[in-house]
Amino acid sequence: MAGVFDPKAIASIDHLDIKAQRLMEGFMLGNHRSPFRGVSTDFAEHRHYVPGDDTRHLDWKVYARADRFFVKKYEQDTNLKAWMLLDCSNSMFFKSEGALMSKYEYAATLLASISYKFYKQQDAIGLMLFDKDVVSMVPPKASFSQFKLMTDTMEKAKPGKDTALGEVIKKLGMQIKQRGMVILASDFLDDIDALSEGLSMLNFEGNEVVLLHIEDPLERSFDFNGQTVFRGLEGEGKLNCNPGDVKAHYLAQREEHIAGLYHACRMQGFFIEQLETSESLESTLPGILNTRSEVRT
Amino acid sequence: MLSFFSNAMMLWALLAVALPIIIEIIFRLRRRQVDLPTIRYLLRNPEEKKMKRQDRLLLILRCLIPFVLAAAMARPLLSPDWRGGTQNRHVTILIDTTVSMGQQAGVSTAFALAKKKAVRLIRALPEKTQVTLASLGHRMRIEKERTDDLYALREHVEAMKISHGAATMSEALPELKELVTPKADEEVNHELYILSDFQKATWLKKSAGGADPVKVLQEIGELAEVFVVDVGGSRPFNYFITALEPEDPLLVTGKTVRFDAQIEAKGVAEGADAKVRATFLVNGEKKGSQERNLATGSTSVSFTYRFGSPGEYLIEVAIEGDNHRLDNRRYYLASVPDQYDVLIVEEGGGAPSERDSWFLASAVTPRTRPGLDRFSVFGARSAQTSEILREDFDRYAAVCLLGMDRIPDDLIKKLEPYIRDGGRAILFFNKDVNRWEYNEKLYRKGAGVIPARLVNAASAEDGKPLSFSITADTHPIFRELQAGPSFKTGGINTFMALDEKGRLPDAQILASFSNGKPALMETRIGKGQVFVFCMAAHPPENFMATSPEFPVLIQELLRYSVGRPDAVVNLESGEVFKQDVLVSAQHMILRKPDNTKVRMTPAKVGAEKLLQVRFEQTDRMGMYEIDAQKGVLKRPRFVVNLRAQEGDLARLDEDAFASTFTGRKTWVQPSTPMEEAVGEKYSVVELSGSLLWCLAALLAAESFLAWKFGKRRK
Repeated sequence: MAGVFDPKAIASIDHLDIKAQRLMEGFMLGNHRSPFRGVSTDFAEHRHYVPGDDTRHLDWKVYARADRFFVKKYEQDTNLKAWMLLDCSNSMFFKSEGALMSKYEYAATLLASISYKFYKQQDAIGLMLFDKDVVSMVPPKASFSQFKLMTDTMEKAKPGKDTALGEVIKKLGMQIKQRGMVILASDFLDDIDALSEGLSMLNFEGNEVVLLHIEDPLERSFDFNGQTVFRGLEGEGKLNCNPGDVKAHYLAQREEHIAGLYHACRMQGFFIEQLETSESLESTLPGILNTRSEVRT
Repeated sequence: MLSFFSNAMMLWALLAVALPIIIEIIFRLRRRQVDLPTIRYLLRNPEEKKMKRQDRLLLILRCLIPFVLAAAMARPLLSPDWRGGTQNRHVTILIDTTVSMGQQAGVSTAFALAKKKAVRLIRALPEKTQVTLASLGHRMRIEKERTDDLYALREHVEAMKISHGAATMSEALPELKELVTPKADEEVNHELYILSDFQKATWLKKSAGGADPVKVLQEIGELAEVFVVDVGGSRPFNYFITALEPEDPLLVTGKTVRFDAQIEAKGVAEGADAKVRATFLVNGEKKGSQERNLATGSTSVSFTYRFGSPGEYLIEVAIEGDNHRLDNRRYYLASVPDQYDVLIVEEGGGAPSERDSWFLASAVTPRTRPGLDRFSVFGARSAQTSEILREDFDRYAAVCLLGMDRIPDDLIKKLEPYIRDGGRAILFFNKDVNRWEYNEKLYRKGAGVIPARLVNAASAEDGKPLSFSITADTHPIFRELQAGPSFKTGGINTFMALDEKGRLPDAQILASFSNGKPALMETRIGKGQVFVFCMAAHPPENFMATSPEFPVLIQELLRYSVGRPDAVVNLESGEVFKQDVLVSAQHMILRKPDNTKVRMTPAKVGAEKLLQVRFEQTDRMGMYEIDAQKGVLKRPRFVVNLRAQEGDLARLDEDAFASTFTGRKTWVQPSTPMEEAVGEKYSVVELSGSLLWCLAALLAAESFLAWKFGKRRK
């Protein structure tokens, strides 16, 4: 597989900061808000003084006004642990003539670019490759060697078996001990109900989840002509039909699946972006990050 | 259930049923294979099963189309066995080919319609059906008997031609009854189909010796299933020439003769101003035409003509004005000599005016004034007995013998065969005849040529001349003379008495003298005739020879004896042509009016075993010619005309037929198809027509469904 490190893509997001929208748990003081109120310049709230509190945090102005003792609570910024979850099932290696690259390559390049950005922000980055099970895992670390290890791992990946996305996401959720950011890149070709259940596991842990739905242009348009035998890539079997006869049904089923996916994401408060492998990454990435920022603000 | 395929070779085309399947398989093999990760969106398509059903339905239809087409081309036939009929049947078809079948029936003729229906009937029969085909023209004829080669039979029917005959059903039905009568141990269903125009003259007339057609048809109805198929026209109006005759049957050159044609209108014309136009032709050249108003009844047209040179002439009258053209002509074949020669044999000689034969010769050939038509068709030639050897008696219409003392043997040798072969002799007995010679040589005790023995010559009693009395006043020779006791002038002074008691049985006394003795006798000897005048042919013995009535008597006698020389060559359809062969010939070729040729071989007939040719198949109107050397036959050509009865196209309709001909039968209208008329039980149904309709429906269904299924899927 060609290298996933795309300078152009990275250059396109160089000016952007990726900030976690949710409160992250981090051991270092970083860019991301921490749920822990500690030393920080950002005032969060007041609370009544109880004996034992640190008197340095007493808010004398309030005492002067209210003749009662209140202590200040501050928001604590912390470092992010970002998990890159990359689907390496067989279906992800599909590439049509109109696509720039296969879905896997596209997703991997995308995640590599984002990972580099996190690395530059001194955020910890980790990687999990999965198909119907976890294929490989690189625990999060904030170092260049970690980044290198991640890219190498992505580059060496081979088409896996079929997908069982819902089940594997549950397992992924159990692997993530600390709240962080999860960026999941897949084609999400799995049963919606299982997906929803899996995604809810991620949300339960309080992770900020970004879903990148990767599609090939041909999968989106279903622009086939003539009698064709369609073969599934993950053991679904074959179907001999006239594409014209089934196109309407295909598109309807796709719409329904995507709608179900989006609904599941909305329910969990996840951000999902639909990407097509015919679109260039340098035009896509900034869009994704900007959209996240707008949503946040 | 299916008895057979008419065109079984086409069953090989059933293999084409595999074509749509093969095409489908080829298309499937040529389909491209595409990997599609999102195949899950295609699975569990509720429409998929429906589309597969639709595709299967279209494939079935596409397989059925070549199947039905191949089956239709193989022409399956549905046997009547399945419907309760039987194949063990004998079908008899009688086609009426009498001349009335040439009448207009719709856009065609009744005969053409009959042939067409017969062919369709034969086509509807299953293979191996026994069929007998008969026709009724100038007589009933079996064309094909009990044949199962239906293809050849159809071709035979199509080649049949209408006859000009006029036989009747009373002649045909007994023969048909024999055909449908079951033979011993034969279990066969007989069917009889009669295709006719139901002309009354054909169906109701009982011919001589024929059976009652009503009764016979009823009997046939008990033996067989009878179908009477009406092919007649609806307008039985017809002009018909019933007769064409010369006013005088003895035609000679230089004498104007009138030909009379009788035209009848049979039926009722559409308009009161119906006209008939008659054209007169001699040897194919038009010589005149006339027009008459004739809506009903009859009329006559006359043409006069003068023959300029001797020979044989074909006189023809053609009419126009109706829709049945077959009978619009009539022919008359006439032999026209310069004159009919009469030989007068006498003993004496001298200048013609001094001879005893002068008066007789003058009576035979009266002088004609210049500028006028000749009075007599006869020409007299006198010869002495010494000149007899040089004479050929056969060229003479009659030979007259005046009384002579001695009768040369040469004369007897010529005279007797001449008479027996059809010649005519007129003998005069004067007082000079040698009675012994005459009795010995001419009477020969009744085996000779004179009817009675000569007894003696006698004179009138008391010197009073005898008169000549006509006793057979209805005899044609006296037509022009008054029947009376005597001629007004002249008298007979001497006569020859005959032995009346010993005369030949068929000798007839035509006239008597006033003393009651026979004056004129007639007898037939062999094929010829002999007239005996018991008196001289000249004065002073017989002054009657100088009377103006004597030439009239002689002329009428000669005309009567010569008769109608053209009668043997002017026949009606069905009559037999007979003629003596003068010189022996092995065979002769007869050419009929339709240019077909028939070989004729002379046969010996009669006690004297004389050679004669005979031809009975006079079923076509027109000229018949026999190719023979000159001298073999006296008249090698003859004509046949239609019988008058066939001109009346009046026919029996369904009700009239049913009321006249009772008994089991089925009437089939002209417009009814034969297959429908015969009924499913007895006919073989060809299914190819239904299959072709089925094919059209399949094609329409396939096209419609392919369009509809394609539309839904878009």
